[in-house]
Amino acid sequence: MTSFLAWLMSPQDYMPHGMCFLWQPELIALHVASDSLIALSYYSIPVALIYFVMKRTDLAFPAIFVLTGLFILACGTTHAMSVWTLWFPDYRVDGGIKAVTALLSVGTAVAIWKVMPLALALPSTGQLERANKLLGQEITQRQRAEAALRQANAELERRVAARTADLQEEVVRRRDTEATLRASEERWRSMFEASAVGITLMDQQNHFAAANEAFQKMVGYTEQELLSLGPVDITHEDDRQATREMIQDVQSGKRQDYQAEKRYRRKDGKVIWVRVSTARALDPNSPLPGIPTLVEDITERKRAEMAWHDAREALSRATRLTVMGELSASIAHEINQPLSAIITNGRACERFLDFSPPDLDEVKDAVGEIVRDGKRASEVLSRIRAMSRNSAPERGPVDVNLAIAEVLALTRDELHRHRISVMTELHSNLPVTMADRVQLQQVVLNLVMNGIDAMRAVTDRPRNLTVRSQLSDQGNIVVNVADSGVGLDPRNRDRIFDSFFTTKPEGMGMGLAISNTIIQAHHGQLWAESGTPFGAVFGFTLPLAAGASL
Amino acid sequence: MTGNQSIVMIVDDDDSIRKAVRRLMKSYGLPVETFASAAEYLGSDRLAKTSCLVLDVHMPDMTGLELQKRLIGAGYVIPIVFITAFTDDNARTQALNAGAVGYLAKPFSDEELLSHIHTALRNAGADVSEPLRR
Repeated sequence: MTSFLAWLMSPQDYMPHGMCFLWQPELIALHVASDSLIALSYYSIPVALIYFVMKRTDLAFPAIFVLTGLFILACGTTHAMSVWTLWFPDYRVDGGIKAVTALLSVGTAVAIWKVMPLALALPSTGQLERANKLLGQEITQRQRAEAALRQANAELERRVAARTADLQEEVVRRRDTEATLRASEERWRSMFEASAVGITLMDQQNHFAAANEAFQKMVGYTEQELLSLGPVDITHEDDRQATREMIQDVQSGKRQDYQAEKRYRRKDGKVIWVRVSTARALDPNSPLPGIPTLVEDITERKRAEMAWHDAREALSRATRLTVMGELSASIAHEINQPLSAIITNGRACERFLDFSPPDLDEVKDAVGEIVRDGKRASEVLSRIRAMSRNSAPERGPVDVNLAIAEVLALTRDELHRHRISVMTELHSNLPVTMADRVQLQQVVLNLVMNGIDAMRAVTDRPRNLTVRSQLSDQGNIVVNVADSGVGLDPRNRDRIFDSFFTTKPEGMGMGLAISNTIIQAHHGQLWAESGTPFGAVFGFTLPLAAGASL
Repeated sequence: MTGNQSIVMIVDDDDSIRKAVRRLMKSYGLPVETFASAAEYLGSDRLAKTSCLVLDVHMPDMTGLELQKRLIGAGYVIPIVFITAFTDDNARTQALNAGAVGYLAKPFSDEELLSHIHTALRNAGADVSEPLRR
């Protein structure tokens, strides 16, 4: 190599190139000018390329540019050498430079062909412009879409903010509602627990779902035990059917609620009376279905009621028997009459049978009368027996006119004895009413006896007693007893129905009070008014549909 | 005993008693007539024919005692046997004081009634030697 370089730089004996041009100045000048311009131009190109490469850092294949730059630099140098060799025959250096140039040009050519497919794949400016345009359009669309998106986003954010505010408000409201509900529940629960009244909730399987302490005490079962029991199980055997029906009615919606007085059988077997009130069947679709019920223990009240009822009935009976006692002389007379006739007829029969031949026609007549009188006496007895009844009151269909007629038959003799004319004005078509016949007759008897007493002192006018039965416009039966006695004292008028009030020296003062109670139990009304022109009228009404219990 | 026949009159408001007493009198062969009230008897023309009056005490309108008073007041002297279903001592005393032959409580025995009627007829001057029994 050192020897090649030495060879290259060694002095040569070649003739300058200008000699080939015969040193013609025009030709020399042409070559010098042309080669100089080419060389200068070639030298400027690599500079431009390098500058370009340095500026365009994103340039594809920069090596090609550098290689091309070097190649052109080399070419420029060959042209510069051409100028040099016109005068100085350094053809060896010139050839070396050309060899370098050849290497660079071959390398450049190989490199260019090598990168050709890649360079071809690079988009052309037109393509780039089209692509750029498309890109521009796309960018515009995108920008538009982005604007819309931003707008939508802003709207969404606004909504989210509004909804968040709403939700916060809702949360506050819910929290308040929950607090109120909790307070309400606590209040109800404390009422439920502390209530002296039994409170239960029955589920849809007819079992107790809840029972407060008062109820547990009342029936003697614990809440745990009650959960497997239903109202029917703890109800007295005789009241079970009615209870079943009522529960069914409430569950089926046939009834909204019910109230009933009935009996429970406690766990220890004791019977208690309760008043059951079912407020309302809850909505079956509610999360808490069931029937809430209030239960009060009314055993004491029932006991008092029954005792009062018994006492009233005993008093009523005692009063009735007292009146019957007052009538005893008349009653004895009523029985004595037929008895006397029977005995007398009997004696006559004996005598007619002793005749020879016996007078059988007379005997036959007499026996007929004996039978008739016997019946008459027995009727009187049965009337007395009915009025002296010792049994509990009982309702049945009553023919009011017949009841009045029986009382008048019983008092017929008493009225005769007091020389009282009895008149009856009985409605011919009275309907039969549901009543306690004996109690009703007791009232009529009482009014008749009062009438007799009121006329005891009357001597200056006829003693008349009028008994009427009527049908009012409202369809009620009205019975009244009018006398021509001393009449009502206005001062006593308001007190005559009071217990123990009497104007009679031997009176007990119970007759009208008891009568009043009896008529009220029949849902009727007892009243008194002055008669015209004198005397008094006592009357009572009886509603036809008097279906009340006694 | 054709012209001076003894007739027993019965005044009682009770139909059964009237018929029974009439039948009993008939069984003894005594002529008998009946009246349902004092007014009916007073209104009849049988007062002078009455040998004995069997009279009920308690009757509506006019009682036996009132009828007795009326007859005495009118000057009739008629033997009276009272019959009553009431035991009333005052009425009994009043009747006997006013001259009644007897005062019988119902039911009475036929012997009692007959014995009083007998007395009454004797007082009335009837021919009582004639046996009452056939």
